Amino acid sequence: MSTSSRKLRSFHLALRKELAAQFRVDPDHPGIERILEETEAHLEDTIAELVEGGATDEAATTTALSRFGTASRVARAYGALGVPSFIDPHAGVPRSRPLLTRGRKMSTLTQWFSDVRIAVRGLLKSPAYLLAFVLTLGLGIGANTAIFSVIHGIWLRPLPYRDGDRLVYLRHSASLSGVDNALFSVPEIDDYRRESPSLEGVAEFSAMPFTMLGAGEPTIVRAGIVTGNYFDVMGLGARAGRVISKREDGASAPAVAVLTYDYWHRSGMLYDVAPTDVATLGLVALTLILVALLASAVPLWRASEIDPVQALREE
Amino acid sequence: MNRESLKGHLDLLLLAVVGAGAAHGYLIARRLAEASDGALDLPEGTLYPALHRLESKKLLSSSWATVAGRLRRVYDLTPAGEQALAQGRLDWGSFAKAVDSVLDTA
Repeated sequence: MSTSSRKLRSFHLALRKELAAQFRVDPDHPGIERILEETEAHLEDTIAELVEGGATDEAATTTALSRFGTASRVARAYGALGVPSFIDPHAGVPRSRPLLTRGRKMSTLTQWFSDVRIAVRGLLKSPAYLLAFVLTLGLGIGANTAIFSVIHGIWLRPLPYRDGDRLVYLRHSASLSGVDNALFSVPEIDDYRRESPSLEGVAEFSAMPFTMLGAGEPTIVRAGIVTGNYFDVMGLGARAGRVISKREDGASAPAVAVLTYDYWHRSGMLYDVAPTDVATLGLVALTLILVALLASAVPLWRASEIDPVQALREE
Repeated sequence: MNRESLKGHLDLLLLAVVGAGAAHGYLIARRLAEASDGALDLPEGTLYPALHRLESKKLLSSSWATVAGRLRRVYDLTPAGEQALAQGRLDWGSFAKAVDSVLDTA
């Protein structure tokens, strides 16, 4: 290829690119082809006239290109004078995206896939940005999940009792005495039971510490004093034995107690394993040792890959 | 002659040049350069955006034609272009007359 041909070819490529950017269309748009054909004819005529006048082919090409103006200058002139109707049939109407791509409109799905491909490529090219992006996204999702878990736990999730959404906690205050959550007297509770038809049942609960004797070392036990209908109102049953009922109410009722599941286990066993169950305890110990070995294997292998001399040099 | 003044009347000049006879881009550029005695020294490439604008405004029409054995895009005046050229001539005449009379009396 001669120097003149190379110059012309390079100019055409530049003009195609500039016009595509100016019109925001595909470089192969038929309208751009038309402009390039006219340009080629113009330069051909100019060169022919100059050569006829005695110029060399190369000099004529240089002069013709110089007289024609640079690719960006021509594209800028289109910017100033408007998009020709053969490029944009709605010339003069503002548009937010390219009207044509390779002579036909891209479908929304194709456009979407193209956008995704460009986004992924862009992210892979800048790993630091990708890391920041993933961390930000991870933290955002994590924070949202945590906040929602709290909101769900406090407000949305029903209480873990039968008909948890129908349970209400009654409390009253004595503002003159400065007490926010005053205790109820027995007549007051009777009033609520009698005068509140919207309450199906009213159970009482009061916390009180007791000292447990006769089971090794004396221990303080946190206990709740409840009315006989407490378990019925709360909808709770017993895992073993029975819960108390209204029969246990009153001055002459025998003293009874219901142990919580936790207390029942704490007093004798650890996670359902008795201290005498040597086989289970041995198996647990073995599992723990295995996990510890596996957990240290990866750092150990990585450490073996490090050249001590290189590591020291880096330090 | 003020070159910027000429550039401001590029549409009218192009209509006049094409009005003298249908022509392709290169010929239009040659005619314009000769008629303005080289005063309108725009890069030739920038004439095409102006020609295409006139075509978009339906003042010029264009079609491929063989000129001296070569295929060229030839521009011609449309009826609307002829009307615009006539109106342009009148407006320019009035403007020039007004300027002349002021210059003569001042």
